[in-house]
Amino acid sequence: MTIPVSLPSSTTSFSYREPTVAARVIASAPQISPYIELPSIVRNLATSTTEKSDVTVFVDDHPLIIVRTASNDAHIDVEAPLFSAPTTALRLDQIKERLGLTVTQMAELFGVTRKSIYDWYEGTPPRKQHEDRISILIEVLNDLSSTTNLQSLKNIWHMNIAGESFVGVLHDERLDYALLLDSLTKKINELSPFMATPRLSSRNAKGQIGMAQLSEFERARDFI
Amino acid sequence: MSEQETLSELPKELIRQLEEKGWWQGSVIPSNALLAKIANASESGYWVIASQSCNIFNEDFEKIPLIELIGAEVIQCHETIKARGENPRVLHTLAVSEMDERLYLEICIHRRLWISRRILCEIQKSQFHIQDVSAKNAFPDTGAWLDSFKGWLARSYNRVALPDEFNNGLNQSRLDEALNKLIKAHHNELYGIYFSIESDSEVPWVGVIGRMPPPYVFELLLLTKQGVDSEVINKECIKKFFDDKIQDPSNKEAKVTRAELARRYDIRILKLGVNSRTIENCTISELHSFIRYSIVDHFSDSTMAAE
Repeated sequence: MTIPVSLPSSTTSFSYREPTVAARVIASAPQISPYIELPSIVRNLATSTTEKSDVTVFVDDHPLIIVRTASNDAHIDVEAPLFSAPTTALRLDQIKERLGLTVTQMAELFGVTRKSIYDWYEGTPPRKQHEDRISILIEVLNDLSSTTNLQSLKNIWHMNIAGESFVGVLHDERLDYALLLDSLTKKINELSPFMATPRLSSRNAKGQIGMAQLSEFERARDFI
Repeated sequence: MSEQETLSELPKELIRQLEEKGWWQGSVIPSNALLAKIANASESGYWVIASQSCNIFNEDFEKIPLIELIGAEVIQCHETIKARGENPRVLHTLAVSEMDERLYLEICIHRRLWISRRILCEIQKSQFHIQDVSAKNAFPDTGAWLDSFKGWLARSYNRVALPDEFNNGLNQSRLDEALNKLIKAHHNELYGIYFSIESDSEVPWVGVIGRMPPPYVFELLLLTKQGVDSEVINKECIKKFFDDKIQDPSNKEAKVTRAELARRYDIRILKLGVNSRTIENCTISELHSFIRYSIVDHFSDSTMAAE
């Protein structure tokens, strides 16, 4: 389980009980520190000072109470009423909105049918491989600056750079979680020069060639 | 000039005559000009050249001996839907003369005639032509009669047929009613509405889309013109589909949303399936997954074959 936390140095060691709700927590607020695995937190806290106090941490504005026990342990309060893990639908929405995707494009990204996307949104849990891909994508997107425009990634995600495309990397079953995370981040960096959308000068748009020329996917004058 | 030289010059002479008479795609020929040469010409009061101009003026009269005409009758006034090209079988259009005289025509998709190009050299030049009239706003213009004619002809071949069951579901659930209201309210802002449908069963459909059996997964793309806030139209569509309540046809005491009703007709659409873009932010590859929707499409199912 990975939980992003930011603890004051006064907290020392603590014990941990895994909450009964779904484990993954998505942090989108920039003030939340990067994900830290709990064992690391334990190790870091063991060397801190011993001032005794309860600590409240906030994850996506939801408070988690870390209660210091008599034995100087701290545990995550599983009854924290405001804490609930985001649903699959909410997580998918993060990806959809950040990348500006239609359902068809989401299906293409995950290598599934549109039906599967709709099923996920309506509560059918994704298979583990897709669940992992959703999580990894969210981590990758959260690691990027919120000002990074990724709306045109969908136009080039099949582009082969350094031997593989973004979608190819995402679907590469040889990569474990950590390696996939790293590879996707690298791939976005490789693709970033191609994500700027060139604009045609309006001076180039002279002449009226008519709408009938676009008849492959266009119909003339439907709305005139 | 030798006989061979004469024969080789003949096509060029014919082309010269065709050009001199100003023949073009959209030229209108009264049937009485053709009666002496073509027996079937009497089937229509007028005939409009449907062939592209590159075929009219091609120098090879052996490979391209004929051009295609499509039958038309004079009408007094337009019907808006037919003038927009929304009827798949009948088009209302306007032909204009050099003296700016106007001829309103009703063209029928089924009335076709193929004639020798040489006949165009032998008959009088056309007085009326269907043509594009330039307007101040180039996109879209309101006088693109020839463009409309070409588009309507093309659509008679490339229109993608949606399954009858889907069209029926769209109608029974009143999703089409919502879309048509959207079109009417925003016809100046909308570039197009595009559908994507897929089988909602565990076994994917691999055949022609028009034969796909229900149930269906349905997605929508609302494409707006340059500079239009597409989110506004997106929100309006979502409201019509998922928030507004209409009479439940199976229970007079109850109300349902159109999306809920669509489920009963095997059409599943969720809010995330309603998307919008401006044309600046849409690519051709994106549109390849979609089919253009127009008001006429849901009427154009197989029960409308005879009209």
